[in-house]
Amino acid sequence: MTADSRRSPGVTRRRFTRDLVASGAGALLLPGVLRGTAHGQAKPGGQLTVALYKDLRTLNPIMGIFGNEWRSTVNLYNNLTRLTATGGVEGDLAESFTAAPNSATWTFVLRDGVRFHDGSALAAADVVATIEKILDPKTAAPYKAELGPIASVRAVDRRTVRIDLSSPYADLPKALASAMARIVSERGIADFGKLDTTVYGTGPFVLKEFVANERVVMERNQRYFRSGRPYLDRLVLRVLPDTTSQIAALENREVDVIGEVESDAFKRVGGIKGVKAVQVTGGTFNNIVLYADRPPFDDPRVRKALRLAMDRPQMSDAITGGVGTPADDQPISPAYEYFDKTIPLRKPDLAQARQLLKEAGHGSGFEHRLVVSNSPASREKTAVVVQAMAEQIGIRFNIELMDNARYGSTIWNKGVSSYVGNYGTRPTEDAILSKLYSAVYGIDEGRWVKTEPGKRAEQLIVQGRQVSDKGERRKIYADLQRLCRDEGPFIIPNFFNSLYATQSYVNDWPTRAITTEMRAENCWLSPEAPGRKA
Amino acid sequence: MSDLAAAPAPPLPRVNLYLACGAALTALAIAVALLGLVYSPYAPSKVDLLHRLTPPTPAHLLGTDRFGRDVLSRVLAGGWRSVTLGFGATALGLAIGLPVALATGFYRGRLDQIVMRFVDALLSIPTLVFALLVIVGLGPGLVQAVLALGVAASPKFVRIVRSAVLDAASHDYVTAARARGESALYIQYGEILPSVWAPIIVEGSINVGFALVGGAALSYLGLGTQPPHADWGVMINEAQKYISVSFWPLLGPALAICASVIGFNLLGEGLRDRLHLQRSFRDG
Amino acid sequence: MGAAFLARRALYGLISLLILSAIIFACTHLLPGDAAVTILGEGATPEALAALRARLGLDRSVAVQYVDWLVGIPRGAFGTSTTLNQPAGPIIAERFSHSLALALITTVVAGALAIPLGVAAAARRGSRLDVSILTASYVGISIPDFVVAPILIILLASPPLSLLPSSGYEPMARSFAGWLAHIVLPVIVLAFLLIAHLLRQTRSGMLEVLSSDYIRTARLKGLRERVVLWRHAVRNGLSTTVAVLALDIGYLMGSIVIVEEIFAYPGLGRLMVYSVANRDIPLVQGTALVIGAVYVAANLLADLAQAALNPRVARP
Repeated sequence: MTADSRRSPGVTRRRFTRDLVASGAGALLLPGVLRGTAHGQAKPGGQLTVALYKDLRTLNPIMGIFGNEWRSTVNLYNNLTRLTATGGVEGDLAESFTAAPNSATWTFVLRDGVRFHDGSALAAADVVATIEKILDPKTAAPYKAELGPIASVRAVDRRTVRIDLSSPYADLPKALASAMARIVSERGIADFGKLDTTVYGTGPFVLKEFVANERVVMERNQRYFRSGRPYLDRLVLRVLPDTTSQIAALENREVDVIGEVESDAFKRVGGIKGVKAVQVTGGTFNNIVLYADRPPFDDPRVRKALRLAMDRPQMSDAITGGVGTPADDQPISPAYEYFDKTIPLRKPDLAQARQLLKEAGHGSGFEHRLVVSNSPASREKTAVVVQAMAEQIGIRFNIELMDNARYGSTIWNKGVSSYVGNYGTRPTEDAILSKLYSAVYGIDEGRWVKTEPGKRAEQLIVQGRQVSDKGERRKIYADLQRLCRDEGPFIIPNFFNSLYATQSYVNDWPTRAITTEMRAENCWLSPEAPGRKA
Repeated sequence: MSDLAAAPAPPLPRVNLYLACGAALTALAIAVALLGLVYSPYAPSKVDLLHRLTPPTPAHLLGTDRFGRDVLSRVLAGGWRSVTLGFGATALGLAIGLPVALATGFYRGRLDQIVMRFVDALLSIPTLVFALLVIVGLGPGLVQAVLALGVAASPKFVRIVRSAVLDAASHDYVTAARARGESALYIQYGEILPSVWAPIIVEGSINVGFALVGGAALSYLGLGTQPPHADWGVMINEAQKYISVSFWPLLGPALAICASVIGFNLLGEGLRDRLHLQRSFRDG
Repeated sequence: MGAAFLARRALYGLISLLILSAIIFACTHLLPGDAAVTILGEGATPEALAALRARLGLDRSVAVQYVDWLVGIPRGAFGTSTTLNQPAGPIIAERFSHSLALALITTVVAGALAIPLGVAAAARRGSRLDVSILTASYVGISIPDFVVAPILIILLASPPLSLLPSSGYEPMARSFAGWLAHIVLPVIVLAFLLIAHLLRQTRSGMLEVLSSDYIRTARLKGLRERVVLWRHAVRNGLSTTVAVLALDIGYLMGSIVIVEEIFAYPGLGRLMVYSVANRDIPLVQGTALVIGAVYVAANLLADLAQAALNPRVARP
């Protein structure tokens, strides 16, 4: 590429990093490294087009459930807090936040001078209105439970918000950084029905055009409270459901970024000249839900036997096409802060597995129904691979593919049949652990809570939420990981890495474990970017 | 008189060529399907995660797919599903569509109008959506797929055959038969049907191809053949996503479908010609 | 063929559409799951479902919901999409215009190629020309569109050639050249399939007619072969072709889901599958109605054309 001569002096290091990146090494290091080199030369201007995979139904930040919806609202709104590149949390709209010693009361002080897109000033009343709307049962907010045990929220004065919890919750700041807690103006909350297509936010970009399931066109917010940002004039999100056309669009420079690369396409994308392909260890997974409260999987020996039949590195490779991380039947991946790397990956042992089955009275194996929703497609891959592994010891899964709506209304969490679940990376360990294993804060998906180990897990989860000392939390979550891995009601063979592809002229594109943290406010284009108008 | 009026006729052997080739390919497809019922080099669902997406080798004559399963075995084992889908759906569509087309085209009048309103309504439902409705309601499975694709195809047969019936019913020999006092049933099935074989055969043989591929469209919605079972359409659907990595998993089932569809269409063409010749000798 | 005839056909068309809307409404309601389930996903607790259903009006009886939707139609209001929370009418209208453009252009291109080729093949039955035309058409039928499409994208819309954009849609108002460029590949893929279908029916119909008494008489009269062919045979041989054309237009409106997905072409096919999968009933109903109306109109035109080509058919 002849543009080399126009690049900054950091080009050698950047090229080196890119090669590292394309080969998949140094994944977690990346965000920091890229930022350090590039920030000094950031130039404003230009349009960036991102190709996204599927559904984009609504811009309502409280009701959205799809990744692409969160990728849109993260640029149109702000939260009280936001996650940092290294997994910590910092203030976004909040200038500072403090907790009372028992972490049952939190106080947030808002920045001064922040304006919504319509010109009105941000005040505590907006935060109160938003949070109350999320908590209101009539709203039916899908992720209300993950906000934490909020009892009440009050405006102490124009710039101060006080949140009272019904029980201590150390992760409140991180919970408030998640996609469903974006701050909408009071006027917007009053106009709730219009939020699907209208934006009442403070974000770095202003909505220009939205066509559901097709595209979102955004323009720079000239009044954004972080002065100088965003650098881009325009940000366009396009839905391109087919992998071949995504790749072609990238090759033709019709798009500048693929927001979430399909694992099968990753190697091919990495080979395109002038494209950076990045993978970051992720935390998304599919779990085979086995019920611990009924035969055959109520017998811990049968669960252990199935675990021992899984060759996880092979499975991870097959399911993700080589861009995944083997998992050990519990949902905390290396992307999480309290991941315990001392726990060894379980190795398959077919002989022991068969022995355990025989002891449990299933010497000749058994059949078992496994329902698989047709969306996302990775569920089917996981099911087929697990089926093949289980067959080696005589457990025959009968896969039943199902339309997603039917699955959602008749199978998911109904305790009717085993199925393949699908969960994205959460901002905190507690969010995913309570969702899966707690009956109080989540859905106890595997019906495990009434067993001895399940009871213990519930206790640990409650403890972990309330304790704020990092050392203590690390120990609690380490115990939980071991417990879930050894006794839990799920098979989780792998985590999916977060995969990105950007043109070489795109700088500072956010590459995180949580792919929906697609905040483009720091992103800028090198001079060789093609000039484009939507 | 027929000698004098003979149109410049091309040499007859060509017709036999269509029939011969068509019959051969169709027989091959059916043979592969039958063979697959009893034999395949590997178990078609046998996963081999260490040898995924490999090109043809002596061990795997058509290569392996994304889970390391032998493509040749899957083509063999899945053959009967595809063939059943293709033929079954078409047969069902014709079984429903032909009587309706004959009746409405013959009787005309109010019966014709009422039935055609329903036909138009059903016709407007896209096949994929129709199949979606049937299968989501009844659950997935081969029988349900045949049912869905067959019923979805029938309004199309009604429309096309009916227009040929309308044409035929206006001809002299039908008027003559009416004058003779023949029964309505005889006229429909004895006089009109033989003269509309052509579009039926053509449309039917085209539909076999559609139905073969229709299975793939259903799996695209997650409603077709259940994993890990195979049929040619599903295999093509899976392989298409990996086309830039390796096109071998695509080649096997694509060749199978192509050969079957071409074979059956050639057969249909040859049959049409042969029937047409027979009839023109009869009318002549 | 007067105003009375057209009025009657219009009435019949409306009846068809009414029947269609009732069938679809009933079927979609019988499916397990509803829009509330698909909107909430994992957040579908019993309380959330109840609250959302109340908000969307899904807790009313089926009959009430149907009638409510029906009475809005004359006003031009097609209800509100439950999953998108926007008026259904404009969404459907925009997709409709895109699908209509694609359908018409594809039909014209396919017809312009298939009909002359079919006639030529029939006139020279058994010759090398006939065999090669026929074989080429078989290829069109036997390769699925979702195989042809990516191949074309890789060949024509990727480096090194990059002749055309790989996907998407550009409004004609913004750039005619751009609109044309985006529509070429979808049209090629679809025409492939259609040409095969049309060509075979045309050839078949022509073969029937070419050996009929009518044509023998014309030849006996000493007319030149070309006149015999085009002036007499074609008029009578095309009746099935016309029926097929009408069907194909309808097919292009609603069934080309996979092509629309691959090219990210915002048409009705994708919309319909999306709305059925998400149980978004106003969208399902509206889309079905629009596709149905196109079928009704196309079939009416086909019947008229058939009567014009072969006057003996035109009895009431």
